[in-house]
Amino acid sequence: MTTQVVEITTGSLTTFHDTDIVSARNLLQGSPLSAEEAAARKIDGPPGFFLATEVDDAVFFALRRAPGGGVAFRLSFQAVETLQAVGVIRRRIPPGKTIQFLGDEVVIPLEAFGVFNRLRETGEIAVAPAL
Amino acid sequence: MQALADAVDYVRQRPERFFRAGSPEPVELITHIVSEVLLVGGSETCTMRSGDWWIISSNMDWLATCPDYAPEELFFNIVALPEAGPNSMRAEILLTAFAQQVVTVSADHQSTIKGDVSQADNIWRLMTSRPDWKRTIAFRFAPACA
Repeated sequence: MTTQVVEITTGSLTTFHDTDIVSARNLLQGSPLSAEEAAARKIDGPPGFFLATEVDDAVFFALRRAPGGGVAFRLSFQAVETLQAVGVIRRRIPPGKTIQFLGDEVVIPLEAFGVFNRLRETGEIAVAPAL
Repeated sequence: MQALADAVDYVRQRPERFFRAGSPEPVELITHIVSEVLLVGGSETCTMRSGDWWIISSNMDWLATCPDYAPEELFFNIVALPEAGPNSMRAEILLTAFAQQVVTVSADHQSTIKGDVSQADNIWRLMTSRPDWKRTIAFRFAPACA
């Protein structure tokens, strides 16, 4: 049995979301998280929006949708606290068959998309190209 | 924003992410392929070894089960394998990244994926010796010189 270890993050956090190049550019230009789009574009795993703490892990997910692109999300201390309060968790990225990951993932469940979008609007989450 | 597209290079530069011992190993490679075949619906597999060549065959063409990629494209892309759970991937790209030569044969087509393999090479005869196999992959994995 695998035990899921959930970590509590204190402080600001830089994370990465890599996806196909069109979606990455849309995120960079301010597109909000959308539950409908997340569901439509899902490849595997539970619903939600996923951020990797290691850019090299994120690149793997971009290459699953090649040509891909990467976006860095810089979460302020306030953003981290707020997101954790609405159910956002940080945990090791589940290893897939054939690949091991280096770092953690921050899981934004669908019900936290609204809070995440508001934090972007108020500047508590800043976005930049990952590479 | 930099577009990311070279999946084979990504894999080749990170063997420690794909092999338990941290370096490419042919038994682990063929094990990945066998489990993939069974996960996508194959009921019979056959593995053979002939010198440095490793061969896997199945009674189903498991490379034809992915709607978004042609069979040969699976050797050059990171492709999800949801049948194995979240974040899983098909293993053919590992062959392209780490084997010296890779070839494949289906019921009506043969392809050289990587390296030069002469049409006179005995590997082609081995791969087509059982017409009931719908797909065969062979890869040559020569140990690194000391």
